[in-house]
Amino acid sequence: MMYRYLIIESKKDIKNDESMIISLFSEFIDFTKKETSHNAIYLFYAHESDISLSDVILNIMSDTLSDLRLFSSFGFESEYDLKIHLEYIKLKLKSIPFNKHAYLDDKVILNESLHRIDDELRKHILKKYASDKMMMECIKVYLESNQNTSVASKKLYIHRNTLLQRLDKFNQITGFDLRIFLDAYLIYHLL
Amino acid sequence: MNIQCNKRENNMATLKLKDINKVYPNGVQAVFDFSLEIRDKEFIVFVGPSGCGKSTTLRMIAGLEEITSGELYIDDELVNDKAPKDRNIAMVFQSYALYPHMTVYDNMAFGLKLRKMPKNVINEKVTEAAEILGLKAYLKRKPKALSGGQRQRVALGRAIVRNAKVFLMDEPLSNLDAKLRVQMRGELIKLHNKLVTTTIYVTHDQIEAMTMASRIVVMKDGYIMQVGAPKDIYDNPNNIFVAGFIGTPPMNFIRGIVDTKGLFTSGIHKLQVPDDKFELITENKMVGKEIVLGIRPEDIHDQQIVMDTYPGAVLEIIVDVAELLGSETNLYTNINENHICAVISARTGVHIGDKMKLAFDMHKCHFFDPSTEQRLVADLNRIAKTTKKVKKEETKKVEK
Repeated sequence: MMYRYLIIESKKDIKNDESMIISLFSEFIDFTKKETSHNAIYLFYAHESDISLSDVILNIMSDTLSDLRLFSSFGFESEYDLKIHLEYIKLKLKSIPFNKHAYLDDKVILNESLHRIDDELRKHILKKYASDKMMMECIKVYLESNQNTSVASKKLYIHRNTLLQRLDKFNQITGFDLRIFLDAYLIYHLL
Repeated sequence: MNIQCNKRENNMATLKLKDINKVYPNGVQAVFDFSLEIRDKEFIVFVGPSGCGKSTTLRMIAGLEEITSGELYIDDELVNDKAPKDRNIAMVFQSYALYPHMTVYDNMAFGLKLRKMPKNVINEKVTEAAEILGLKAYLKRKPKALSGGQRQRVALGRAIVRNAKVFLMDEPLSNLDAKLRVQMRGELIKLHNKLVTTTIYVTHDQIEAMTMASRIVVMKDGYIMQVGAPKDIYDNPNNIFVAGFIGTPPMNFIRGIVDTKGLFTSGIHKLQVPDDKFELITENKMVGKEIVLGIRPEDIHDQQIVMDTYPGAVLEIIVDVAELLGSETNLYTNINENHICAVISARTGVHIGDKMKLAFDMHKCHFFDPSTEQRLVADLNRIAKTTKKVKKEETKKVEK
């Protein structure tokens, strides 16, 4: 089971729209817990969803005529990991101008922070792989081999399927699919 | 028909923006002294490059952005301090977006449910909007089961059902592919004609602006550069920026000097300036000084008849690039290091490296002051005096 969370943040007070937003999200998300502050709602859940959250937030904005933004996390293996990530993202969101993105996730956060990557950002994006030298080496070789798994696996002296498995695992844990150019580009900055 | 008439009466809206400024907390000023009166039923398009302040202005009208200074009136009522919800506006952020988990009906009805409208009223409004948009057969479908164009129409339906006084649209077609964009442009125009609701539309695409607007507001760096009907802006651009921004391919600019004989010279190339234009240049004291000649690509011709009409404005050029577009050819050349484009008939059959003659329709050209970048315009007082004089002479002749 992977733990996930959403932050729905308002530029002003969110109280007026709070019940509507929660009831709307409950139509497609089974949240296990919810928290609120004066300008944000935090929803916690533990399942996957194929609903386009960026579409949902844009629609809520036009229905309520309020300035909102939504952060959607990838999955976490433990609630503890989620909590640490959430605290970090709360801080990070403060440095991103409100109207720049209606929808944010780790990819948007990393893209916004490429000019000031630090250990903490690295840790929150790469999660448990931040200190996994073998995984980092695999990714580096794979990306520097133009994302060619056959070439990279030969260079790494591992079977191609092993490399593919590692890339899948990385995607599962971090939400970054290294076969996609933009994801590969973003992660390369962290190596 | 009656439904539309009723709607029309309810939805009359005029907007007045008076000296509106927007300064962000970090000190950056995004909009400077924006003043504009928008008439009822107008389809106004704010157009300009990224960062010119068009979306900020729209967001200030919506109430999503605070107005730093200036006044905003909707129907003569000052709304600076009114919440967005109380301004009776409908805003489409990116109209492709729909609630993916809701049916077409629910997507359109959701905004009304939020406003706690009775069920029968919601049903009436949604059915009416679905009829206008040709979506009646799709009301039970989810967005996934719709084509791109249908989804776009549902998104418009979400705005229509609100019966708002003003529609605000922020680059609603920017996510669409080229074909769908052209189709949706047509749909939006048709829709505006049906609903006759005052609409403000933001885009960076000048073709959208030209094809849809009743009036265009061209913006740059937070300032209004020009306001006018599309044709007026196209034919009489105020400055080099507007002249270059509106029109595809853009207007050609050639730097040169006009001498006392009315001859425009740029390097080895010479063009005879017509009397009325020369008078304008003289009046603006630009004779002998560097000047910018602007001419639209379609006003440069390769037909013999035009060369015979303007023998003093024919240049021999070498074709750098020839782009065949089907009915016409875009021909690119170089005149004294100024890249020039001419749109000529595809029948001419030109090729790269060809030598050919081009005639400039000098009556259609504009002259700009390179230091101010403003178009040289005639002294209106002088024109009025001349017209009066001519009229007096005509009257005398008639009397005689």
